[in-house]
Amino acid sequence: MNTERPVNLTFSTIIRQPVHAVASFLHRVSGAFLFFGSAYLLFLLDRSLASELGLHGVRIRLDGTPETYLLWLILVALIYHVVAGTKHLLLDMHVGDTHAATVVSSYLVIIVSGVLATLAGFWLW
Amino acid sequence: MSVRNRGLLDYVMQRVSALVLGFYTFCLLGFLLSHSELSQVEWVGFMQSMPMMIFSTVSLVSLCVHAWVGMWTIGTDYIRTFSFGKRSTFLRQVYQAFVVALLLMYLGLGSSIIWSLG
Repeated sequence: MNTERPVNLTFSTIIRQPVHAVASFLHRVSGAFLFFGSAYLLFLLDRSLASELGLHGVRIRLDGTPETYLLWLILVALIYHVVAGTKHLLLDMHVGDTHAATVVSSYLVIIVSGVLATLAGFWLW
Repeated sequence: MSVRNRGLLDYVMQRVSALVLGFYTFCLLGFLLSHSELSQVEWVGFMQSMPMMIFSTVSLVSLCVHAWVGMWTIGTDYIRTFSFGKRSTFLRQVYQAFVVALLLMYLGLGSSIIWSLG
């Protein structure tokens, strides 16, 4: 490997990215978050199916408690990951893979996820 | 599948598992959204129907496959000689072992949750 290659370490130009890059990075971050969040979802699934008392316990856990925020965060990650993933599958089939189209679709992914995340919040609270 | 086609296999598996997980998410969220006053009997009844038990199992396996390909990509992108020097291979193996261990735990716990219903 060429260890003498140029390296960009200017923070402002690293942070400032085009919208496709932001959308793509969020897809990755939400995926990694879901990797861990799945444990909590499995836990809720186990409790809620175990017994009448278990489901009641889940309802109490998620009644506007800090844990409700955790579930909401997991749902937001799930929503974003599915919406961005749909875009990705369309790109695989060469649907909307021009530069202009991906700028629009990247904004669209972020906006649609934002709206769905808000609706998920209304559903939980 | 030959070693040369590992990348293709990962590519296809990631997308097939994505579709399964997407449909499963819609299915579960659809059920929960349409049953706001869900009773435990209804919930268990839904989850222990044979189609749902099979769908849940296939989705659980898909979750493990999908998460593995995704986490593998993240590991090979960031844990490199460029950032970690000579130890990068070892660190990546530790990271990958952690990912596999957690996913196997999900697989075991998940299957026992699903199949204790039947």
